[in-house]
Amino acid sequence: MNDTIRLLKNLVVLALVGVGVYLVYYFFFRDTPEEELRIDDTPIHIESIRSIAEISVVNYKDEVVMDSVIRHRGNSTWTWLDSRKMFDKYLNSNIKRRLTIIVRGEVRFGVDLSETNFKIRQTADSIFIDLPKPKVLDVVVSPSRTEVFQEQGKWSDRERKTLEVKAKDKLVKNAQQLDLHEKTEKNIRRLMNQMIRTEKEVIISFDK
Amino acid sequence: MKYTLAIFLMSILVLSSCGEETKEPPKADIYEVKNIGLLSTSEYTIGKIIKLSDPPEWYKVGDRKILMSCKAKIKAGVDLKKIKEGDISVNGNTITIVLPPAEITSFTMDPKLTHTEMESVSGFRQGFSQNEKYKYMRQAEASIRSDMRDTKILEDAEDNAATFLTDFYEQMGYEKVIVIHQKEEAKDE
Repeated sequence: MNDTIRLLKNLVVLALVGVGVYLVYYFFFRDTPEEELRIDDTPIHIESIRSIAEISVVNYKDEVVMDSVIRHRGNSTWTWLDSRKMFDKYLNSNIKRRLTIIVRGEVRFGVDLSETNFKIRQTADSIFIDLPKPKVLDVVVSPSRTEVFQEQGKWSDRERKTLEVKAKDKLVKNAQQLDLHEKTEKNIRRLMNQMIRTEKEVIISFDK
Repeated sequence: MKYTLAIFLMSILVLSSCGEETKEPPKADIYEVKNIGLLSTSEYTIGKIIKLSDPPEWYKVGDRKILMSCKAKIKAGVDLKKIKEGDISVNGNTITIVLPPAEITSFTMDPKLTHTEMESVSGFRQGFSQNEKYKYMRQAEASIRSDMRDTKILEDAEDNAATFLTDFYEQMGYEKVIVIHQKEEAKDE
């Protein structure tokens, strides 16, 4: 009976200690997520200016989810002395760290005429326009379109960048799977025909 | 003795195993393919330093500082789909084209060009998480978007569009090419 009372007393003390530690952490050490810190007002600097001539005619908009998971290695007996590892092992699929980001982006297809790499020839009844091969002109991504869905553990910038680069590559791969080059050529033909007012037949061809 | 041991083990479990269970990543939304007609004629690369200090407060022991650098690639040009039927007119060997006002056609912040230059954490503070760094990058993006209005990117885009179209139509045999830029309509506040 005495043992039971002592156990209950100890449990109450433990609960009070736990609450005390949590309150100290909550008020003194926690970095409140709702607190939005503002960056200093620093000027922008123009690093380069370039004249280009890119005609974009197809816009592919998509979102990709990139997930990176690091699991605990080995089956050390030390796991029993580390409650965090125990939690990860038995309640968290042995996951040590996890970073999941959602990247919303756009892939633009078109032709790049920046090098004046197009030719126009004319005959009595036709105009021939030779254009370069259509390609991906832009992969539009930015922090405002990227969301950290979950971040567990400490992640380095290098690891985050690797995930972002993979996301960009996946956006392009998804777009290319739709075979949008044909649609791009069709749209360029349509756009050129709108821009050219002539009685002659306009024949547009693309480099292979 | 065994109760003490049990309480010791439980206390370790309670105090240090407040782990967060991982969530399964969401499914991505469906894609969208849209026909556009943008002629981008000017490209600016703009850099910005992201500077932030998170000083100590009575309830925060220690401070945090971070210095990051980022770059944005911005393209500007004209939307050729906004050209209406009457905007292109031909009179003999002269062609006149009325172009819509220049606009920003793309804004990209390449993750490869964003770097943490310095990070300092003291006291009992936690380091900067990637989620926090994204928040600061978003603020930097908003700042670049706002400040780039003071650059000449739109004027350059209009001038370059006129140069490109003049060259294009001259190659088609027109002797005189007149490019007129429509002024942007004043927006109501």
